[in-house]
Amino acid sequence: MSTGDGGSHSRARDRRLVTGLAVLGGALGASVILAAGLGPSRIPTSTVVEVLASKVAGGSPVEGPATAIVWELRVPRALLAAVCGASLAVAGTLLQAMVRNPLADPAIMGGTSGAGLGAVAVLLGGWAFLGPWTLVAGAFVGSVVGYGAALKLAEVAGRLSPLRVILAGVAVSYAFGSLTSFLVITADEASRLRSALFWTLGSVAGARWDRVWLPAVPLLLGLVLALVKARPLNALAFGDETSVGVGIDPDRLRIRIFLIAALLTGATTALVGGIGFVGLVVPHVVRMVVGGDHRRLLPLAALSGGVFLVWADVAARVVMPPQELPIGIITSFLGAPVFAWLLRRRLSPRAA
Amino acid sequence: MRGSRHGQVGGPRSLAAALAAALVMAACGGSTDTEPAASAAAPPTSAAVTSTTVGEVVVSSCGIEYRYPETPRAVLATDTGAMELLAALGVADSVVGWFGTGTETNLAEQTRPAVLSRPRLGGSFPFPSYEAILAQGPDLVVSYGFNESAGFTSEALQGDGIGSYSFGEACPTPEVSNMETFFDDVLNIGRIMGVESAAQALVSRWRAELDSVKVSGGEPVKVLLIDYSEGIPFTSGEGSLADDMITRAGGVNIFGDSGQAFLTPSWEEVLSRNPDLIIEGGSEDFSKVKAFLEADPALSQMSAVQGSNFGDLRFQHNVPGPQAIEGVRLIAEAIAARG
Repeated sequence: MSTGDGGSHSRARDRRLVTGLAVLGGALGASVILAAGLGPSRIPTSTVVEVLASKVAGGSPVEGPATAIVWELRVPRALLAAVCGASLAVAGTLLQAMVRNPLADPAIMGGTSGAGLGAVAVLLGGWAFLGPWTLVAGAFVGSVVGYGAALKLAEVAGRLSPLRVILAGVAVSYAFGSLTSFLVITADEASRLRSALFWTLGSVAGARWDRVWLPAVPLLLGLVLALVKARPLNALAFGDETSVGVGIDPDRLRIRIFLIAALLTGATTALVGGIGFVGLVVPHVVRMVVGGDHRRLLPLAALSGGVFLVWADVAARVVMPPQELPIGIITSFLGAPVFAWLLRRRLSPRAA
Repeated sequence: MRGSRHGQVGGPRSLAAALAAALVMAACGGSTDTEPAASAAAPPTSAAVTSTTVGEVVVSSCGIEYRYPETPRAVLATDTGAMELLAALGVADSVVGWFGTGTETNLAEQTRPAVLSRPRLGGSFPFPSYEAILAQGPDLVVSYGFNESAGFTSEALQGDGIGSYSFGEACPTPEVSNMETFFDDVLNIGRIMGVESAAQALVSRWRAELDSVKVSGGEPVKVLLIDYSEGIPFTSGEGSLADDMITRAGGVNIFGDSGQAFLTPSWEEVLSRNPDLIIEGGSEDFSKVKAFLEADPALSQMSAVQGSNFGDLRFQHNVPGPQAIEGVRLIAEAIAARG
């Protein structure tokens, strides 16, 4: 792990980062475009290209339902999936650094269930004082409460215990998750709390252009605020003493990181529900390839998470037409084996 | 989403079943080892009802055969349509109570006083617990399906010595459901309750009412029935009663080829099948659903929304029960009113 600053070392690092950004950025762009051509209804590639061309370059509009399907459903869906996948991956990366536990992720640490409860509370109250941002704000507050409760429970004599964080997170997740399910099941249908399934397994089916921005703004904000603190985060990974040694206040840093993670988790959960495993698995895989330096890890994990969720959503809508699978089934189905493999690998004596 | 629409029904609809069913009294087709309506020619209603001893009625429902040596006196209905049917058969007095969403405003007018004269025990969704059912001490439960996760199954009831009859549409075994299936249900329940002639009179009357429904000629109108639930369209597909109702009303169900009786299709599928008419199935405020569809940049492109062609049905209008007859008439009217 390099917090390194040496000349040639740094240039090599920059080259790797630039290469990674180019490759993954290209992959994400290509994924969104390909996803616009994939779905349960067969639309010829030429028509898809025509629709995209007419919308992006301003050509003559394409007749029939193809425009609505490609431009109003599939493209915003792919973009929302990209944004939310990136947010979850960044949140997971931050949480793993913050509590120095590779098991940390938004769902396990109580952030997702807190956000779900916050969003359901906003829906139940019928509040809209911040317009469409009200739901995001409610989910953010819920996420702060969720993460906060887990972290508070995990404190031993003023210090954070990495093991207790996970245990506390699981307890908080179950508690908040059960409250959400209770509210959803007992509320009458008119209050439109969506389904218990949505809050546990997620869906990007509700994506429209006017909703893509809602999590995109928090993502950009969170990513910038996190990158500014990438070096201190690297120091934090070595322990509080090391951080203090290089002039960092670990507690202040943790609060900042915690708020960013809550913002990303809240905005994502409000829009697409509870999607698991992205925040857990993506940071690990990326860390394996590019190492633990957060200056590289954070942007590359964001792009990877985006690519992953775009394809998870493609799978969710083409596996069993005319119905869709909740996207969380796909992410767990793919994420769990990868995580199990990582776990075995870490435990094997050779890797040690 | 109504839990009571969870019946796993599928397979091709058999017109031969209509005739056969009128002769062979049975509920929801055969024992559990019957092929799930694999061949279109075989009548799905294959379990015969025979009176073995004088006064004893044998009826099979959802693959289980029941013997009724005596007429049930403590009937529990776990569904509004079931309660309305019992009232229409004139046996409301034998009902100890009912679960359902029925209220003053959405019950069938004719039987409303009789239905409301019996205790309403709560909503039908979430399903009542098995204990709540036993607590009423019923000797017969008339339902619209069961609920495995609550332990409310026909097998459990049978084990406790309680008869059960479910509308064929919601039996756990795959079966085609249509208006004839419902008429079979009416005749079967009539037999069990010892009011067979009343049941036959009801079915004849309803057949006449269905015959009098004015069906617009010309190209069949593409209809989407949605039982809408926060952004997710829940609909009736192939082999469901609602699918048959749409056909009878002169329309064609856009998910009539789905191979599933009930499904939650993606909006993309709905868009590409482009319905001319959207019928709201009664789970939600119709005006809200209409407003949602009109405001949505993608969904507002459907020809039904463009032409503002909507139909507003009650839940009871498109599930098994006496109000399904009026449901067919309302769908036909919505088709005729299409601008």
